Amino acid sequence: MKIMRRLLWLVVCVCLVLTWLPYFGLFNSPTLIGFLPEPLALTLVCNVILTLCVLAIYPLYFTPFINALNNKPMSWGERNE
Amino acid sequence: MNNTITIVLLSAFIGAFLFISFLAKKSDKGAGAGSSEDFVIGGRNTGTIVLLLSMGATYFSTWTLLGSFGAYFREGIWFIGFAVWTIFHGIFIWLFGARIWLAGKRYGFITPGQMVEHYYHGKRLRTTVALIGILALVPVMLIQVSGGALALDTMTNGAIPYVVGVTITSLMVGIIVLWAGFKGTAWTDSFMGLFFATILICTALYIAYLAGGFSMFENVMSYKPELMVNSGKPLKMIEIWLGLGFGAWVLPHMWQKFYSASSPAVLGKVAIMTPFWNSWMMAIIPLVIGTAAAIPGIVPGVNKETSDTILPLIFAEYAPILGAFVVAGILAAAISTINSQLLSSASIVAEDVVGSLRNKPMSSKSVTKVTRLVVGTLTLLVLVLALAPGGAGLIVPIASLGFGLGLQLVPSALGMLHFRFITESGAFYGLLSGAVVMALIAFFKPDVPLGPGLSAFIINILVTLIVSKLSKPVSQRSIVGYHDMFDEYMKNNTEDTQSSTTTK
Repeated sequence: MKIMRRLLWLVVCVCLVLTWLPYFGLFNSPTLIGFLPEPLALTLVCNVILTLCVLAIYPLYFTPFINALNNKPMSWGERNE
Repeated sequence: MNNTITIVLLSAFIGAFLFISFLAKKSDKGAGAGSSEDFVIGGRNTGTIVLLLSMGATYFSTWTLLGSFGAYFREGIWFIGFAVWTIFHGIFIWLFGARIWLAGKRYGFITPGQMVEHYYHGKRLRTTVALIGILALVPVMLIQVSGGALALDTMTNGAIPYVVGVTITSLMVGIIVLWAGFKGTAWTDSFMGLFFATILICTALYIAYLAGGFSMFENVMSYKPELMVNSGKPLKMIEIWLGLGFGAWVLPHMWQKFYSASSPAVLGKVAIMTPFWNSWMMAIIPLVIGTAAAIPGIVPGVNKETSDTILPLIFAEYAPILGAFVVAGILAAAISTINSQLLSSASIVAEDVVGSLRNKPMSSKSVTKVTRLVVGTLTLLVLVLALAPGGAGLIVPIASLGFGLGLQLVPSALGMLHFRFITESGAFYGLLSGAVVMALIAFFKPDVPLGPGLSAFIINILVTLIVSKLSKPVSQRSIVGYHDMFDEYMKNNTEDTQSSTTTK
């Protein structure tokens, strides 16, 4: 789980960096890759991967969070302990 | 455009709003009915679909329905950063939203200011956060009202004059919020979100077909190749990214949406659906339509000056009879954003400003009463300002700083959610310096390389870090009650993470 979580954030960071490359003139030529211009193709591919990363957040983070709340219930709504 | 059809459709639309608000009010018969928790955050009982649609419709305003198309038309694929930052909204729900939900539910908060005071033990910080929050929301509300009314006036050639547009929008928002509170706004948001999403999807498919289907971008490239490469300007994109990216969770009306979720499972499901709604639909559709409009003949009459009205121009050309749906869509986009901002602003005034001035805490029912009173007053204020000659114009410079002001709330919020080293003094002076720098830049308009929001944000972070280093840390009670709780339930919650913590 720990490795998977680290891998998730690594992929997110790499994709984030890649989406910024066209703003600095990299992968920014006016050529078509398939039916998309190069910078758009790069960004959309990263967008697909980032979408998959967001999907992975549920099993990697939300499910353990929900389980932890079920296993160790806490009292709700008490501001002054 | 056929004005009779427009007026009939608009009337039907208003009827639908009222019916949905009625249903929301009718469903609100539980034990907590009438409490502030129920009125302001829906009794922490909002489900996945309503929360997803409500967050989307609230975040995407009239600007999305008009301005983002123009941005793609003028700037080309430079604006694709818009689609990337909206993917991060899903990630932010885990990074920030889930923590806001947990602390909100644990300690019974309904406003961000309550959490600020409880964590930092500082009334001054709570009041400042409340004032900045209101200052970031109210002028934007006014601009939404006046902008939507102006669009209605223009698109119907004066059949729905500005005065009528402003009055309808203000009254609708006031009625929905006063009558049915959070549940009414969330349910009507869902209806409005689905309505303008349908308009967008149908229009995008039709325009993509007209522009050559899969050859669309190739066709755009043959006419305007400069639109199909990224024109650079990374600093400008960073400012938009930070302002609108962080604005998705730190602005009070979005913060309170997290409080409203019925469970962490709901938040998780909203997080994984957010990229499809916010990015693949709301950000990619304007890309298709906005860039296709650059092909001559696709959207007759469009140029740089009229590019913010691409959608109305499309309907005027291809389906004048359906133009009424765009008018209703604009009204939907405006109302779905303003109603949440209005409720949030009113609850902040009631709880964080009026409540903190009193020696004894107000009862839940009193908070609801004051919130309703403030909703009525703010509705009237927005209506009067929008109708006053030059009223909206006066407020434009402040409204344009709305997201930048929201950005100034980030360091103090991060202190509560992630960074235990941020102290009350650090957060307070950081926030104050950020707001002052923004005001100075807005007033004197110096030639700074970064925009006012980003410049002030950098100063804010520096002051927060330096003062935090020199001042008293937050109490152990806050560390245990927040950060240790987050670590226990959200970080070290699997066998391997627990064992590695024990080893350390």
